[in-house]
Amino acid sequence: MKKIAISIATLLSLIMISCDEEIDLTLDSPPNRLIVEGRVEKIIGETDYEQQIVLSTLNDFFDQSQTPKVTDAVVKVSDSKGNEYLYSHDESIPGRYINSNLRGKVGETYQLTIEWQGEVFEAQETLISVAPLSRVYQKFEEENTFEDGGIKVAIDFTDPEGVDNYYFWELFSEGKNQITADPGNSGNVIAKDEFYDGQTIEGYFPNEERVYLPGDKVTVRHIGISEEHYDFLFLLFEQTGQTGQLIDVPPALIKGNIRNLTNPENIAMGYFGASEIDERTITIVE
Amino acid sequence: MKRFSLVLIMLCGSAYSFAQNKVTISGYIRDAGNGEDLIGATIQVVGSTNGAVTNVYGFYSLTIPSGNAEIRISYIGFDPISVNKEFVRNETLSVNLNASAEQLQEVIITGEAENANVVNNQMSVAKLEPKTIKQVPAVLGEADVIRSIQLLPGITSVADGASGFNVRGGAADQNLILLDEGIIYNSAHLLGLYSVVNPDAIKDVQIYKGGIPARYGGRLSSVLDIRQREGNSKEFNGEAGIGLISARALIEGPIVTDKGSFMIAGRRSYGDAFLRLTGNDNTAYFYDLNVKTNYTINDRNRVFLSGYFGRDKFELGSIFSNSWGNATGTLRWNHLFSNKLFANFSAIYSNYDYSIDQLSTGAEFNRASNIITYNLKGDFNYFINDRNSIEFGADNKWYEFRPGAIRPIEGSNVLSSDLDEKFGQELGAYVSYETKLGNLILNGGVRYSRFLRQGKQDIAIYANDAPLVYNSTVGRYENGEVIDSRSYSSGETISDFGNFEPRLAATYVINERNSIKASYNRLYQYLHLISNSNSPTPLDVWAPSGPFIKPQQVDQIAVGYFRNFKDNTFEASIEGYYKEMDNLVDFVDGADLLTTNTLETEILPGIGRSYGLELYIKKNKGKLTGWISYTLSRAERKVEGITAEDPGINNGDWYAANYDKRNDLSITGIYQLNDRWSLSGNFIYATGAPTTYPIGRYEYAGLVIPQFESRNQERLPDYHRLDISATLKGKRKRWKNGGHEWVFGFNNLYNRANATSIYFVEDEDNPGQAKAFKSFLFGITPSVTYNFKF
Repeated sequence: MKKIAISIATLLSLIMISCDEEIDLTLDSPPNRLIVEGRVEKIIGETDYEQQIVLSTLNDFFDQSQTPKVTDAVVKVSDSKGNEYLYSHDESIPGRYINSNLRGKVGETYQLTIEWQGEVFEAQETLISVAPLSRVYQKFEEENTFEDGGIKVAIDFTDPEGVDNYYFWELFSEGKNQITADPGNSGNVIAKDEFYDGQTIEGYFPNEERVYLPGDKVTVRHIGISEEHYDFLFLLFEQTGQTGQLIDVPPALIKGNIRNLTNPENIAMGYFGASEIDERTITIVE
Repeated sequence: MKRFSLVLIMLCGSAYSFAQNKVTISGYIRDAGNGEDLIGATIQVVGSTNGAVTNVYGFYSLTIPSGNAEIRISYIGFDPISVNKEFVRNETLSVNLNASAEQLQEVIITGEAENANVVNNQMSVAKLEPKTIKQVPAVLGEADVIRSIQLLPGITSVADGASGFNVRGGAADQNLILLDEGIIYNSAHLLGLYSVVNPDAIKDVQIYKGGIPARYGGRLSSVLDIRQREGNSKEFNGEAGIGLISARALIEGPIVTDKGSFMIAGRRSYGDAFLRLTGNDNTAYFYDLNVKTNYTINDRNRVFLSGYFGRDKFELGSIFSNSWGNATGTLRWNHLFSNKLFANFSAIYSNYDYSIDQLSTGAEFNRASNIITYNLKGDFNYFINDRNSIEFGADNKWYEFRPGAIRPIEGSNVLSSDLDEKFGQELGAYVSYETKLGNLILNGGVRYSRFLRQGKQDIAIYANDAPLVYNSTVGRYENGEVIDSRSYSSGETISDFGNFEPRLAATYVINERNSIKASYNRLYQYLHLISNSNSPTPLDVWAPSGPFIKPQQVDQIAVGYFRNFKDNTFEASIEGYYKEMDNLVDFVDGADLLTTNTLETEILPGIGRSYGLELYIKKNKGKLTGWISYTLSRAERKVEGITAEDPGINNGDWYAANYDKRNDLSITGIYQLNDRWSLSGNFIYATGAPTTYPIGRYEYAGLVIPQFESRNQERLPDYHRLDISATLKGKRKRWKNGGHEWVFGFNNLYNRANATSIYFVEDEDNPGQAKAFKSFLFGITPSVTYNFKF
């Protein structure tokens, strides 16, 4: 389920004597923008899990220190039946707000409300279902021009026919998100079924960049997302996969679904999602 | 030590006698050496201002009072010929000119009459001789037409390696590139490193940047009119060359001596061979083939058949293969209805296609796309008398856009899918009248263009007629809601656009060395290149105007002062222009243009303006020849939202176009050291192209995300570069036609790392660390090329 046109950036770099050089620049200081990352989850087959929303702000581009976290916001999620779930700040991980009571339901519309620095932010999303994985396994891939060779994690699943489906995959190992800043992400860690509607997908690598060794424990999160959420992530991955080639798309502001009710000019970044998730863990063997 | 020889093919009385006291002389001016038509040769009545210039087929018509007259026929680089006799009736006077006996001390770098730039009523035009193109230092020694024209004022590109070029603040898709009248949709080989035009095969390159004559239409910013060689009608000849990039060969010769000839030229790059040698299973190469043949039936009828086939091919081992190319074919018939009425009829076919095979295991598919154009046209030149002439004509183009079909290959489970085919028909009819009023030459013309978007196609109907809506609650553009769709049958009109395009040109000839010119043109463009990257790629699709994309429009005015010095050794000009463009196509952020069937949901209309001053001085004769171009300009765009509340692009404010360069200077020099060595060099300086810097960063989905809030507010570092080359001619003639030479060169001599872009990414090896990188293409690059004739 790769992107239809592979980034021809790689082609360019093959034929051209293209070079890259790190440079120092002085950039403007950032405005005070709220960044929202989180989703209401429904994990297939699980009953006991935490929901989380992470809040932060913009940092100077070259500042390599931790992103500034927002620890003094009021965060809550409500559903269409008027149930309200207050998230509490997780003191052990600054910027993380958690709730252990909320259980996601497919088709339910959730509303996020954040109060911060006297402004109110809102977002809504309807929880999207996902076709479960039929298999998660390890698979050896030979090295090629785009990717390293080695043992990778592969999945099989069958796309539901007659509906538009959008997928997002997260891999975790030792508690760390396995994604890398790579130009191929927009055609790999997210996908749509435009050319695969109703097909059985076999041997798909939800992260082509990561190679594992025997003994590694890897968790695959197979996530159903909305079209808007897909579009947002697509832009995000395109922009983080810049290659410095002329065929790059000009960079632009990436707007999600968070709106500022108090002061619309003071935009907020990020996306509030709602997804059904199939989560599996495998241990790599020889 | 000039050697004169006069060859008159025909000097015979004509049956016509037009007026009692006026006679019309007409005919063709050709190169005596190979029979090629000379474009822009001057036919002058000595001692008067009466004269004519040959058209693109080498034809002229001149009306003079009957009686004794001396007619001088001249063309730079050729020995002039004078015919002194009594003209009492209409005559055909076709003349073959001999190339000047090789003057070793002198290189001449222009054609036409020596002061044509001053006295012709055409401004904002530049002409490059293939000979000059081959003398300018080139990247890896591969002479290139489109790189060379960027050394002229008003013509730039986004960056090194960008495909296409930009004229006076216009986008790359606003250039009409014609090869023997066939439309070239993608001028790039190797994704923009080189262009599709093989300099061996061409005779004449002209680029119109403004004051575009009424006979041209369809693109806003320029016309690049390339004519192929007809081939030597006297004897068989060949030439060939071997460089670091490609090998080339050309053969030409008579079919029937002095009646018909042919030319066939081929070129193939062999970078793929090197890749193979190094054990790499990737492939990247291009080839092209130029053919032309012509036959003179009689002195009133001549036919031409020409073709171009070019292709690029990439293969990445077992995962990806991609090819694209242009093909054009032109059948032309020149017919003389009388010695005052010249006509050309053409039937032209053009096809641009690309195809991708993606071969990843389990997801193998092929995607193919093409655009086909059929064109029928007729052009007439009517030479009324020595002061008045009319050009008129009409053409009709039929377009077939096949933007893409996706097919599974090798048994994969990818579903077949087709994007809608689109059809259009473009009609153009024009007339322009040129008159001389004393020292003032006026040309007024109008072109009427009509574009019909036609079925068969289903067109979506959107709620409130809005294919793109702004969601103000989240501040994003979203697809409009499709409420219905309408089916159009084959040939049924979906949209109908008709526009008048006035053209005006005036020249006031102060004297033979000084003139003032002014021009105005309006043009419409019905085809749009759908591209949202910084520079076009071969995968971009062309889309026709229709219910959701309006035709682009431009108005341009230009004024200029033209002056030659020292017996036309130096020619100089200063031109100023102002341009306004409407209905330019821009895209909402993150538009997915390749696989969408509903482009209208991704498009925002914008406007553009550009203005500038161009200085040009050129030395035509002597040991040292060359030119200096300087352009001071600004090119801006503005994309407002579709309603009052949405921001458009850059909050609806003007922003610099990607190819905006405030200062652009290039200096080109060619020095004939002695009879064997010649040296050439060029120096280029330009303001850095606009770019966008982030104002901050954040973390999301495990990645560092740069935050961009406005567009093109910063600049890349200034661009400058020096290239040199040296040509060594062989001592002895090796074959009958002699000539062999070595060309050595260095591109970017002082190894300046000119940024093609600055981009911002997370360090893959140090997650969490954000970095800025500058990418650049060529450091110092040596080259060597061997050329020979046989």
